[in-house]
Amino acid sequence: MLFNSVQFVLFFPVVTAGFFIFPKKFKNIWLLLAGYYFYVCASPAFLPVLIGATLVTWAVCLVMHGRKGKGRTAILCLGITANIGALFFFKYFAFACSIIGVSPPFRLLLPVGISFYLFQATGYLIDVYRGSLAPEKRLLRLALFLSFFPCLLSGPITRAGEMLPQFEEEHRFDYERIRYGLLRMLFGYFMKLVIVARLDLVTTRIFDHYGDVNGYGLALGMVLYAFQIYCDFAGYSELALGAAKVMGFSLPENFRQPFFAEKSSELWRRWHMTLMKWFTDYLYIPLGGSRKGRARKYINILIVFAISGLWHGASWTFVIWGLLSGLFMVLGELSAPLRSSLLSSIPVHNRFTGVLHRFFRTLITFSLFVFALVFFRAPSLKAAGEILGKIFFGFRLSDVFALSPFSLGLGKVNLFLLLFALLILFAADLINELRGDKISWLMEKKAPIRWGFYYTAVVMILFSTQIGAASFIYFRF
Amino acid sequence: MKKDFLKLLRNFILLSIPLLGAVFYAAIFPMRYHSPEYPMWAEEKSFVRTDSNDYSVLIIGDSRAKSSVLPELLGNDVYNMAIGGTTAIEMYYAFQNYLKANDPPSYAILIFAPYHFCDIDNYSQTLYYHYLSFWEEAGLTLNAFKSAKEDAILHKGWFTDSLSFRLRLPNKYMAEILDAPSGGNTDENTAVFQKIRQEKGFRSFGTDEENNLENYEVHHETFDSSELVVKYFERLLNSLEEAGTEVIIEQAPVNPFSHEHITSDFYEGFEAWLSETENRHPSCTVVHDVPVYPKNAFGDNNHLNRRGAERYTGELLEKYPEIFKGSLTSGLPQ
Repeated sequence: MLFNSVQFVLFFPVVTAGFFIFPKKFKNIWLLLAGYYFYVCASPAFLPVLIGATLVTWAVCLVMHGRKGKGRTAILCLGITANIGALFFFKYFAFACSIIGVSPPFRLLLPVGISFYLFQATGYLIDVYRGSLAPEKRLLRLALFLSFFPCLLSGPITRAGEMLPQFEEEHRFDYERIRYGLLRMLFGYFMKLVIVARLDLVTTRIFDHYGDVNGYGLALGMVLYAFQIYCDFAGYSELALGAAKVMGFSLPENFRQPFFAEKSSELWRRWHMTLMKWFTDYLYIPLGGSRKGRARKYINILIVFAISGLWHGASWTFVIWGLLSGLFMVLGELSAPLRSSLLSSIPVHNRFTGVLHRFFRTLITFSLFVFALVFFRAPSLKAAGEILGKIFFGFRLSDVFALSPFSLGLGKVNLFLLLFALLILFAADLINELRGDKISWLMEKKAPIRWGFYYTAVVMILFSTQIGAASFIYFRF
Repeated sequence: MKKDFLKLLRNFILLSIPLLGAVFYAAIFPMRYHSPEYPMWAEEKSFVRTDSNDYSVLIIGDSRAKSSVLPELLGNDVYNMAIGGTTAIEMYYAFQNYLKANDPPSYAILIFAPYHFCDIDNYSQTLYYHYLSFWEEAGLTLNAFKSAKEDAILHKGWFTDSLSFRLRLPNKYMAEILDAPSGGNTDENTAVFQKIRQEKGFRSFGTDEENNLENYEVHHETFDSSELVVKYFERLLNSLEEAGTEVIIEQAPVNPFSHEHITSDFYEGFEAWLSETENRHPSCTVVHDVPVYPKNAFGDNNHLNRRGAERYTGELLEKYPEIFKGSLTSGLPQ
């Protein structure tokens, strides 16, 4: 079930109403059934995979509890092997076959959300192993943790330590909280239906025929794709956080204005934050993190980013995308002293140069992100090479003036709506950056401002239903 | 809590005003934003639901019937109530509605493209134009559940689709509303509506002077009839027989290229199915042969142009002199 489907518009009020109406002891059962129904609607054949992962994780943690030494580690390895093995089987088997030059004996469909819930399950296993979390004896609660519908299909990747206690708390009908959650959902719909739907028309048109598009067109397409994927995934996260908040649950933030980042490392602390934190806690730190010298630290960064790329998709393009992202981060750290000394040699230092410097750094960071993203978007390494070749060697200034914005496939009205929506997005991100939270900021404003925004968003969403909304990009991961 | 809930509800209703506006616009002004396909459905729907002077001959069928039979050549008491894109399903309900407002006709000529007994290929348009009432749609859905392999109606997301159409939600209607010219399509649609009414239900589809491309039957290897369509065709025949209407099952012409490329398996299957139908309904006159007309009789690959329609109508007139009171003054066009 997609958040942007009529089905969800029916599902969500029913589930929320039931959640508030049912007595406390039934609330979790209700949410579990809702989660499974939600999953069945998206991926009917693969509910057994979700249930199987839940049972294995639950059983492994209970068996592991109380044991010490190698036995405990062996049980952990068993649990991790089961979860990661399932992920490998469904997601990477065909890719692994292609690497060794064998055609896969069967074709598998990828269960929706598998990368998310298996990472949650694996994180929980490691937390219990480390002793930072007691094993959950009640199967229902663990099942609910892994199937909590707002974050079941595309995250945020939650931690058992922050979610399990919330399933025990009393969640009452709270007008202000519900209002906050609904406004977050409204903003999520705005990002997905108003911005992504239109950007998708343009980028699909460009990249489906990248051979016929000039360097400038491809560069523009990549910049727009960066905004598309940001709004797509951050929009999904807004919807997930909003939906959870309506029912009284707090999920971890997943995005924090990534395009305001001034360096690559900062961008990756702002982008898909729950995944990056997962990799930091369960991979980067166990690999030694930054504790074993600079060279090892950089190697660890590259390993983490390569695996992060692989997490996104079973293809070399994703691996290269991950490696490039890691490389830019490493190069950023290595070049920091040189850049500092260059900066200090500039004779004038005032507020204007400070802003200019910050803008320049943000622009470079964004450009590097877009550069790597070519590998994320391209269907193959060859295609990525062709796109980059055209951008860097086929770029002519005359193309900039020759390309009319109306030739992008949107038409005047949609182009205007898109630009206006991007302006609202920029303002919202700026408010987030400066004031902390756009929704709280909006809720404090006077009624005409608030309702002005509400109606603007609703009307723009209505006008966007004509385009239709595709599935979320991160569903395929 | 109650106070907070009411406050939330009030705000939700206030926020829904633009949505309700869009829904009401879609419901109240269909002629303003729909394409010229809509007036055909609207005209037929209004025809069957109002007392229409009790026609004695009705033409019932799909687009091939609609574009093949010119009632005005057949006499004053003939009306073509076929609709393009429909199957026996819609026509069954159309006839039920006709009977509620009118006396049964003496004769009914049923013309459906053979593939329309195999495929329900246009059901979303039936929903889009609100052709069926809520209860008719509910009954059809129930029957689709009972019939095997009717995924044309029970496709993935059928319920939300159906609900979206029923409530005229923007996800289904906004595209056409926004695509309509600023002055709306009312004038054009009203003209189409009136022309169809004036020509007693006739409407041509293709605009070509000639056409010899493959029709829909060519894409079928065999005649694999749909259980649900056949069920409704049977219901339609039973209903006509119960009303005392004499039924003639006629065939619309195909172009020479299609005739050559429709498989013998398909023709044989269709022929066998017609024979079974004839056995079940001995009072019906069943024409088995599918006529082949030259390419200059076709306005597109499936439908006759006006010249073709005049010829076909003329042949019907000659074939059934006891039914039709019309006359051909200039002979049959070739």
